[in-house]
Amino acid sequence: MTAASFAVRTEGLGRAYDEHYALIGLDATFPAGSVTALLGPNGAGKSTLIGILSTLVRPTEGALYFGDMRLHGAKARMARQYVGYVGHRTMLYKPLTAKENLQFFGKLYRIKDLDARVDAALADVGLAGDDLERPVVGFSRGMMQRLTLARALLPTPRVLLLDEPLTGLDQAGVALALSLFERAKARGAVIIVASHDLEAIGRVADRALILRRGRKRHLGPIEPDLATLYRTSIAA
Amino acid sequence: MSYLHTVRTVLAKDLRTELRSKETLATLLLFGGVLTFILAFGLSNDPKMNRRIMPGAIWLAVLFTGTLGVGRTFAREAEDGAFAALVLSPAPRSAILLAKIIVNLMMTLIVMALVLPLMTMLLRVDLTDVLGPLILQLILGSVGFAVIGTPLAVMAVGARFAEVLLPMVIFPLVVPVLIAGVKGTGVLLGVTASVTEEPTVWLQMMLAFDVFYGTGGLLLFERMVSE
Repeated sequence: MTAASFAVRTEGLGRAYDEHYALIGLDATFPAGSVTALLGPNGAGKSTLIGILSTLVRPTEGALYFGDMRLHGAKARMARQYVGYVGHRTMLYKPLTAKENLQFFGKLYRIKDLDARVDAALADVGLAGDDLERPVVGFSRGMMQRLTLARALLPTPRVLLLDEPLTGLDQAGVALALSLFERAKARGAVIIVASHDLEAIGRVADRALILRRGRKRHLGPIEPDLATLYRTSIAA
Repeated sequence: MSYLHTVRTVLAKDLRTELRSKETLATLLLFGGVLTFILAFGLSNDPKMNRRIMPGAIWLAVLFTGTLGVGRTFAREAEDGAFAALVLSPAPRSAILLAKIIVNLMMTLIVMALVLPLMTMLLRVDLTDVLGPLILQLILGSVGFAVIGTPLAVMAVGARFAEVLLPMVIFPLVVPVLIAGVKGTGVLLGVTASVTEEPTVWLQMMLAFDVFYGTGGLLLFERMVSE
């Protein structure tokens, strides 16, 4: 995997919890430089899929590829350097400042010119001035979410996995987040975003993967629009 | 290099977080102090009698403060899901565990450094002649406690009734370390009938436990944090 960008591919990917299947036999390709809206009702398997793609959850069936590299064992650890992840929670250390949070994660990713990269990431999400010097515990939910996005984007990930990334953001914050996703897409990242905000995600997504009860209902272009596609796919 | 870099980074972050909030250390010190005072008020004024009880009192303090400490190991990581971000980084997971073990060890030793003189003073037991070997026993025992308790504490991340679950899992596993500690300290103080009068045997046993559990934890941690 030497190219600057690569596709993410799954073959018969599945995950069972005891007798219950959260994801069943998913065959899918997520091309480099694309934004895929990951949709489905509660319990459809969206978070499980994102968990597997992030290497946090082990699949019980099938295979996952980053480019030509099949991820399992030691290769899963190697693949983590390519992944940026935003989950339901902020994943921040609240006693630390915004800058200290990013510096900590930046060191784990062994990012070069870390101070400059941290300053740039904070500026990208609109955090500046006194905000950088006080512990995150005093931040509003929207500010925390901005910092969460900065944390995920700091290592310039080639695979960006976003589970409800717009939570807590105001209109300006949503617009900013979408512009950051566009920028990541332009540099060839694979972006998969699960959200219930179809209007906002519809502005950046060029493809959709719709799941229901762990099974794929649609994978492909968005036609005529995300809301209609979602409604018809789930009803079918 | 990558391994030590991760250990240093996580260690520095944990110490900085703790210095800023002081919640774990303050809780442990308070707990250790209260435990010592209760023992002091509940026991006799006879230093000879207290000397017989001293091994149990010391290792009881290690057990309770240690359990409380390891329970906090991943609590802050779990608070806002930071643990997921931590294990999703490309850093070696066993290096993350090693840093956490060192933090726990430091906490237990800091608490014992304050509890032991307090215990000596209140129970009026003179430990000056055995202080060196006793400190060595405490270090090895605390290492044993940290290498057993820290990887198990990861199971408490996101678990219901974690405060109850963790001691139930840890206590049976640390029994050998505690027995070696109590027996070894008893031999050191000349108050315990033991199969051997040589305290180094108990030290060797604790060292063996430390190596066995430490290696096992570091090897298995990668799998323990994957769903």
